[in-house]
Amino acid sequence: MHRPNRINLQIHPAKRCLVIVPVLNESGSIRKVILRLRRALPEYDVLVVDDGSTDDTVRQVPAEIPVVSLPFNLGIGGAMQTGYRYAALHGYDVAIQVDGDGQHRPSEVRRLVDALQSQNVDLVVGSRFLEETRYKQSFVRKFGSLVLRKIIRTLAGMDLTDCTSGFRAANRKVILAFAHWYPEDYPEPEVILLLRRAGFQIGELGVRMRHRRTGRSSISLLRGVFYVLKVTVCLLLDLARDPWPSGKVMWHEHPPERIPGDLRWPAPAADHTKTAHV
Amino acid sequence: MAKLLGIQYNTLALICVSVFLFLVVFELLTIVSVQDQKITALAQLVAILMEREKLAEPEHRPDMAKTQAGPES
Repeated sequence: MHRPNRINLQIHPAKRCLVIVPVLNESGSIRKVILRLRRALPEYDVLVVDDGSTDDTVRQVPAEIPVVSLPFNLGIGGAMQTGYRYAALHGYDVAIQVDGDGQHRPSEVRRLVDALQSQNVDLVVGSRFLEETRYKQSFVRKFGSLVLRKIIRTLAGMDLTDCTSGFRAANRKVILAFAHWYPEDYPEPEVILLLRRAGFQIGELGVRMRHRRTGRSSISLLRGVFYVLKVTVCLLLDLARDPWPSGKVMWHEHPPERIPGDLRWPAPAADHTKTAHV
Repeated sequence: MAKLLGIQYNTLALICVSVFLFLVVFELLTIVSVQDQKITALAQLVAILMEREKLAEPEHRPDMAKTQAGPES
């Protein structure tokens, strides 16, 4: 495996990549997830978005990792949009979503980013089911995934084997779009349909994932059934939605001056006039 | 109410009032939805700014908390 040159990494990496880790009460797993990410991806920046955790999740995050703490719970959609806003404001080229419960393997992140270029797409979804794996789902989740897969195939014209996967990498164009607007409640399948209708290219890559070890999934049995019904209604309503009209989202935005390796903006000058456009 | 509105048939008056109330509710829901998006955007930007200014979560940076407590003791 190619080991990146550590001296060059601190100067100007070819693409600036941000790993967004949304968390809600994941104190049992977040530290391990962050340490694994730092070990596997030393040249990538990591951002933790705390969506109103009530335990000591934030205290488990290593001090050098920035944590954006939302003042109240906004849901997974709101938390992820916060991450994308952060990525847009700091001029990142690629943003990768990694869950804080330890399901997503950091070793697969680099493959996702490489797939963005090799497949020449705007968004790559890491699929648990594209290749033969030992990942097993409950009957309710499997049935729900199958229903959503067929709906997305009918409405979007593309067959994604795992449209509920939160393990995905997005390029700069998608980062700007998501910073402008992002679905709130259960965004994974909605985003697929909306991006496709807006003309973005979506790819899929088979990845290995772990089963959740700590914390509690936000989707229980009854909620799973309600989730499928709600998402189906949302997908049908999304046919009338145009969240990323070309005039509103600035595709050719000039990002702030890039700071190699550091997430901090430079100290404000006396006549600092730059404003954020997201 | 039908007499007040000058509508001859009571049923028609009822339908008109129902449609009016529906439109009012729809308008209010639209306003609520727009305000909800604004609140979400504000919360996100506040959180990002607080991270930048290192104002939030002092327990996340125990080293800084110790440094701040040091000169005072």
